[in-house]
Parts: sequence; structure tokens; C-alpha cells
Amino acid sequence: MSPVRSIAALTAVVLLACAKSPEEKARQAAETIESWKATVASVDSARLRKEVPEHFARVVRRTASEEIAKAAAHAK
Amino acid sequence: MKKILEITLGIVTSVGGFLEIGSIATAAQAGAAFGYQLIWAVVLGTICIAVLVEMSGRFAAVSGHTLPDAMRERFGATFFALPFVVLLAVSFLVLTAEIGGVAVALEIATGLRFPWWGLPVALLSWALLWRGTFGLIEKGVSILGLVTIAFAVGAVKLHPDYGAVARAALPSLPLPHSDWAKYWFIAVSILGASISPYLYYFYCAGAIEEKWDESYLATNRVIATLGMAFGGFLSVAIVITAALTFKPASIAADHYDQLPLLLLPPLGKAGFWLFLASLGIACLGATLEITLSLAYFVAQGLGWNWGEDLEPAADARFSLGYTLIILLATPIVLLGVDPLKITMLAMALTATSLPLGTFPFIILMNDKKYLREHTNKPLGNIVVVLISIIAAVLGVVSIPLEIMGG
Repeated sequence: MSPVRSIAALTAVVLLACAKSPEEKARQAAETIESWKATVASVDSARLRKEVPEHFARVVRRTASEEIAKAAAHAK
Repeated sequence: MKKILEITLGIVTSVGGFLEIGSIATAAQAGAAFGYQLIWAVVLGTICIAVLVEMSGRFAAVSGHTLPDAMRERFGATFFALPFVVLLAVSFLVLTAEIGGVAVALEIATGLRFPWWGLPVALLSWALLWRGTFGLIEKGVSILGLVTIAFAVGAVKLHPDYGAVARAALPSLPLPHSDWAKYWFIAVSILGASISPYLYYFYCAGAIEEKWDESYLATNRVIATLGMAFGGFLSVAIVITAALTFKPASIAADHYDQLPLLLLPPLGKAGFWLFLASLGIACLGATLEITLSLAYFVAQGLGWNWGEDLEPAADARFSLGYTLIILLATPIVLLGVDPLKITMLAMALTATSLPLGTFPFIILMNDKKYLREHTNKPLGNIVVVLISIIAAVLGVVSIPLEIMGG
């Protein structure tokens, strides 16, 4: 086997070995969901204290819904 | 008195180039995910870039050459082509991220989505380059960039454990059960954000624009060291702030909508707007520097007439160069590609490709034909070569892992 093929084969083996398991994917999705829930909570309390503008709070809530939906779909 | 003013301005402008979306985003993600643990990557990156910047200033002052010009002359056009193309491609990606950074700051401030801001930001940048002088661009934006001191104020107000911060300056492995692929990817991205080639190419061209000679060697050492150190200090402040605000709240800081929350706990409403001002101004400064740096790189590498202080008509190809560079970098922002994702990838690719730029540079810095008695000491060579290799190896390993990990 040529050196280039050997390196390519080794790289593929390492990458496959390090690919995330379903449990890790589920853990990652749970962390993403927790992160966005915490972000929304933080922004809502900042909005009540008038520390952030309304439009920013709206955008964050929308982004959070999208990201949580994506994370839930990836976890399946 | 004039020298002190020159040094002070030089330090300020060095800070201005250091902090941009790459260093802000990577430092925030590092603090959010791993607390203080990755401060060592900021320290290592800062030491390396300080050495590179000092070297590039010394090279310009003593030889009267810029780096691309000397590389082409010393190694020939054929050899120079590979680092030329790779550095152009990677810096171009970083430029896209910076234009995106300004657009994101404007989106968050106004509510209008960032792709709509891509064109106005590009036009503003082009207009500043067309009409401005090197001094105005370098110093004007950098003085505005002092708003980033807000990160240091925020960090101090959060009362960090300074002992733990100091211990984190030494390299460490990821903790057991932590995401080690993410740890090394962020470490590599921090190195790429800190050791950006455009910084030392820009600094070198600036030294020529300002007609530095051997009498500036001491000034150069002070500016490079203190300027980069202050920039690194602000990056560490961002890691600390994220460690004390995002990490306890489990906010990952992997989306740009989360970043403006960074300074809310220590600075309240002012923190929100100071963050946006810091992001916008730092990224605008970086946009101008990278565009100029790329235009310098191309013009100097190909032997064209160049100079930001010249009227555009006097260096038409150079002016056309930066015009095309901005024009080509903007569409990616207009398409709505997430600037933060571009940033993280661009920073990691920068780190991975470091040896291509630094190894020829080290050879030049040890060539008495250019530097006479001012060639590198062994320590400077060792620092740059070692960190470049580390960054490249980590990049080759961690980028695919992070991509596979989603």
C-alpha cells in the first residue's frame, strides 16, 4: 500500500473511531437545548430590567426556538 | 515626547488589530465551555504574535523590504506561489468573517437582519480605504477600538479568582469527561485568532509606509510587545467574563445572538451597548486591516506600485486590488452564512496553515543579506517554529473531529 493510501486509511479509521455515538449526540442536543433555554431566561430578565431592547429579545426567542428544534431533530 | 507619543499610538493601533470577531468569539466560547482552562492558548498565541510582529517591524526597518517582496526575491515566484495562495485564501475567509461581524453588530443594534448590512459595511470600508490615509485608518479606528477596554472592566467587576487565572496560563489537558475534540478545536481557533498572518504583514507594510529605519528598532520592540500583550490581556478578560457569566448559566456562546449577553451581569444596560460597539468597531478595524494587508500582499508579491498614502490614480492596481477584495468577500455575508461559524473555521484554518507563512519568514529573519547584524536570536526562532508546528498539528487533528461532531 502506498504511503498516501496508508495515511488516508489511517485517517478514516481514526475519524470513524472518534465519530459521536448516539448517546453523545443526545447529550450534545440536551446541552444545546439547555443553553438556549438559559439564554432566553437571561434575555427575558434583562428585558424586564430594560437592559436590552425589545427587538433583541424577540430575535433571541425566535433563534432559540429554531435552534432547539434543530437540536431535538439531531438527537433522534 | 514625540517618541512617547509614537509608542503610545503604536500600542493602541496594535491593540486595534488584535481584537476582532475571531478573538472575541473564540475567547467567549472558551470561557463558556471550559472556564479558565484555555487561557494558556491565549497566552501562547499572544507570545507568538508579539514575536512575529516585532520580527516583521525589524525586517522592514532594517532591510527596507516588505515580507512578500522579500519572499518572492529570496525564494523565487514558484516557491512563493504556495504560501501566497494559501494565505490569500485563509485571510479572505477571515475578511468575510469580519465584514459579517460588523453586520451582526448592526443587526443586534437595529433589528435589521445582518445580510442587509453586508453591502453598506462593504461600501463604508471601501470608502475609508479610497479616501483615507494609512495614518487615519490605522490610528483612527484603533483609538475608537479602545472601547474594548470594557471587557477588562467587566472582568474585574466580576471578581475573578486571580490565582486560578494565573494557573490557567500554563498549558493543560482537558478534564476527564469533558469534550476533548471541542477543547482542542477551540484551542486551535484561539491560536489562529491570535496569530493571524494579516497582523504582521500589515505591521510590516505600515513600517514601510511610515518610513521606519534602524533608529526605530527599540520603538518597534516596545510597540510589538506592549501592543500585542494588551490585546492578549483583553482576550483573557473575555475568557474570564464568559467563564463567570456564561458557564454558570450553561450558555454555550456558539451563536452570535448569545454574545451580547456577555457584559450584562457586570455592566448592565451599558454592557449590552458597549459589547456591540466593541464588536462593530473591532471588526471594522479588522476589515480595513485585512483588506489592506491582502492588497499589500498581492501588490508586493507581484511587484506592483503600492501605498495607502498615494492617491488611487498613482497606484491603480493596488486600489483595484482592495476594491476587488472587498467586492469578492461581501457576497458570502449577503447570502446569510452564519458569521460565527465562518469565524471558527477561519481561525482554525489560519492556525493549521501557519507554518506555510512562518517558516519562510524565519529563514528571512536569519538572512544577513537582509538584516545584517540584526538577525534573529535562537529563542525567537524556537518560539515561532514550535508554536507554528503545535498549531498546525492540533488543527489537522481537531478540525475534522469538530466537523464530524457537528
